[in-house]
Amino acid sequence: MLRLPLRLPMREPFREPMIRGKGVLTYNPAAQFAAGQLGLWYDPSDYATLSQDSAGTTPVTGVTQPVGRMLDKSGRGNTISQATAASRSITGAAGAVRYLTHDGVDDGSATGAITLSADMDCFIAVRRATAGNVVLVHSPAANTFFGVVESAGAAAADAASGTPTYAANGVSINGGLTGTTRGQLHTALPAASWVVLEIRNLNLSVGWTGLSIGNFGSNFSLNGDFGGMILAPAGDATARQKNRQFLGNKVGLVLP
Amino acid sequence: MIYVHATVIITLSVASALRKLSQMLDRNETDGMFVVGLSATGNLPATHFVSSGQVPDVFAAAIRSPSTLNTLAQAAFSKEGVTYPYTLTQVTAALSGCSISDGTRTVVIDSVSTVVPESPHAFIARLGLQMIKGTL
Repeated sequence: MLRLPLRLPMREPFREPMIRGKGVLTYNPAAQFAAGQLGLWYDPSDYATLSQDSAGTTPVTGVTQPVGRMLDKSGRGNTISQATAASRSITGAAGAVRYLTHDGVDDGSATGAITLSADMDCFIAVRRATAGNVVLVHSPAANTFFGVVESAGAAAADAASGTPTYAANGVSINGGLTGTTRGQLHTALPAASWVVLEIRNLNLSVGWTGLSIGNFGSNFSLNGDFGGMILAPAGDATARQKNRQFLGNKVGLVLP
Repeated sequence: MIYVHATVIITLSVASALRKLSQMLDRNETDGMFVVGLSATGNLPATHFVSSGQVPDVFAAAIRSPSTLNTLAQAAFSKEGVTYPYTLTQVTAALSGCSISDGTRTVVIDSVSTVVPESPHAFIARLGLQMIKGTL
């Protein structure tokens, strides 16, 4: 009897990057924006979304290049950019981890006009180079920000952003209660360590006509690395875990 | 476009002229520079301003050469139909208020000159300056 050679179906190459963390995830953050939900998603590991200039003329192809424009992968079109060359962050990498380095002097970027909403969650992968002060996210409106990191700062870590709670690498700050202080964030974001910071249940429906990262000024500019950001409608514990681990994977963290 | 690193610190007295020259040189790349204030104490008022990062190589060369900056700026003003308000002497004076680092510094280690990296913060400190400390 003739035997046909054993033919196994050819497998498609594994196209998704291997996901670390809990199990193998094929989570795509874009799914939470599929029905037109407001928000944004910046992924500095995806060079296809980065340009060296703010017009998007010169693509980013490697490390130590300026980033003048980063596209929003949420589908909402909230591109973030920096027109002034000297104020652009720089691509960096360590192994498979890609990020944008901000010099803590004048680096940062801003969206154009934006519409956000009440009850949103924000996830930011960040690594401070030093123990300096930082305003992670702010609006062009005065006193409108969240994620303020300040040594021994007793004031609230946010303003005009509702009454959010914070967590670092999945661990609640201030016992998961509202009223997190800048000093508590300073402790939760140690220098030289990647942290996925979560800011839960933000209300960004008033005063958030634009959004900026990195260059608040007044000695509160980010001196360190930005590994990605997702701002989406507030989710349940499962949705939060997915976003947290997604960014954790980007910077080499296994998170709860 | 080729970018090179430069940290440029300018004095208050030349800030207005250098902001205008930078703006006109390349509206897509060097507009909006020199807005971060510095002083010896870290308190207001600012006595200096700083810009730090990757800048076009043409700009980096121009701010090291009064004649180059003057020539390029004249052309840029002319292109926009704006009367050029400076003389070479004024541009030379403006650049005399400029301190520039390419991100490295030469130091002597064991009697050998060695080039080492220098962060913008280290450069600011070497000039006896601090970033203005604001409050929220």
